[in-house]
Amino acid sequence: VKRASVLLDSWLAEFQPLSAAALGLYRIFFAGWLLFSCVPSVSWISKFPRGFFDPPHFSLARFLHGFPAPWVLYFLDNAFVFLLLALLVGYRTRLVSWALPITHLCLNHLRYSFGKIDHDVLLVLLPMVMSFSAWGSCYSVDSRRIPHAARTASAPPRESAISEHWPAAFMALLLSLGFVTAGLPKALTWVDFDLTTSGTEAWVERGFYITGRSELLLPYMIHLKSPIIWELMDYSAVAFELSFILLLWHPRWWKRVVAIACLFHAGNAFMLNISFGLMVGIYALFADWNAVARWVAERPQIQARLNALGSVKTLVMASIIVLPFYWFLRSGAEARDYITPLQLLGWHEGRANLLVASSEFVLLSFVLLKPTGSKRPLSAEASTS
Amino acid sequence: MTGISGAQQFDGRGTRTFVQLLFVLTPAAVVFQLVLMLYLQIEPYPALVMPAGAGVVRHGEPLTIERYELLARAKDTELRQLDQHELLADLPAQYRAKVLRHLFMLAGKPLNRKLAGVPEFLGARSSRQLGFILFEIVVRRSRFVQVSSEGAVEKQREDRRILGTSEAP
Repeated sequence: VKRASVLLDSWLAEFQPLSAAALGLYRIFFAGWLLFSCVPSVSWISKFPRGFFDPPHFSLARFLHGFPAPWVLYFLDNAFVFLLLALLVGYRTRLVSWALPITHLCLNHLRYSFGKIDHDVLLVLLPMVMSFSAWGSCYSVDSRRIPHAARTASAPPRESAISEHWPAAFMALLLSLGFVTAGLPKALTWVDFDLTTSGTEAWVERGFYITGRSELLLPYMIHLKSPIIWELMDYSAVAFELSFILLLWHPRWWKRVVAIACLFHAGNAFMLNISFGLMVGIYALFADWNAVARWVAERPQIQARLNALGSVKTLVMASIIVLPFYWFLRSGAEARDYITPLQLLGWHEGRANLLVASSEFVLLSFVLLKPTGSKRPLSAEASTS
Repeated sequence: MTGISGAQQFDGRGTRTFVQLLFVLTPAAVVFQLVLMLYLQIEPYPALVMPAGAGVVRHGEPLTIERYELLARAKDTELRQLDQHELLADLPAQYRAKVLRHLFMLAGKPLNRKLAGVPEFLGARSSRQLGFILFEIVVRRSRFVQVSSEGAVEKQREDRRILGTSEAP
């Protein structure tokens, strides 16, 4: 047991040792990306009668007897956007990192009460897990609360900072476990050495004939008649999904799997018309944010702007502008269970949405595959503003 | 691996134990959730378990497709199909099929209180769409079999269940 715990500590130390500045940059990226890509919305639910209410097993919504009052739905919608803005500027980051997932879960429990669920729990949990890291201690309102001298004095050197970097490693574990649960049942049925059956073809046929998807390469995939290609696709999907857990012990290889995952999702968008774009925010955690932090540290103007972002004034101004803007997006004629500024351009659905998601994934895969420089994060002194 | 002793790297023993417990208990919880899902054949939320979609098809074998539709009629008239995209325009598209399936299941049970409000809700909207006062609203499940690779289908069977009936004036 002692040896296992020492091995675990060593692995945690090596996995994704991000400096406070790097974590602060990732926090800004995550909140900004979520705000831009997929803000869940439930205001539209208030129109429907109780008979439509069909929450999944173990859902908190099962404690309700129907959909809540409209004011509750409007409150949750606006609270989520405000909490995202608070996370963006790093206002009471630890508290917000818990309040945001709780609000997100409430929103999801309600919008998934129509019998269909999406698998976005990792996205929901991420801020909660990251609250144990130092992601609120740079480029944030919180960093202004502590005097500069106290900050530098109390900032831990790298060797004593695992209690700050285990959250990223834990997210990697959660992600790997999620993929195992998808890959293991597939391994039992898809890896059958039988050229007359195919699991990938089942996805293609279901998508085309039942769900009505017909964008990009999917209509061509329907006519693919090569059993060997179908079989190879089956095996590669299983190998890919199980490689997350198999390579988790090797941080460098594991990050390459994440890069391949980005290309896998881009391929899925083209071939199956499934975008799964919400994974971008999670995979981005495993990019080399220390390199970004070094790049920012060498550019005082950018650093000053990022520091200026972390102010109560920014939060107030952003709330005055963004909350009404998202209310306007929600009030569009078309019913949507998540909103994004992309809907103003019509890029939120169909082919455009698939292309946007796959572009994000391809871009991220390049970032993840880019050779990293020094593995050492910025020292605490250099990372503070 | 760095080989640095873990005890030196954590702020305190409590944090270290908490993290170690988290790394041991989480995989156990996911395995439990997966077994529960496979055994009970349910899809819970929230769950770390991702969709497997582990089913396979035999090449060239026809696909069975299930569709749910809403129909309505005035007294002494034939049932007419409703345009559900227009009828449920304010429900996001990905939920429509699930909702109709749910209503079909509920309608199969006698005096189902869970259907409360649904006939009135759909009735008012259907009346506006069809231009007459509704007598009966029905949900229909049809099973089709794909007969060609171009997507042509053939109806195999259909079941109808009454969602609500009212007295026409």
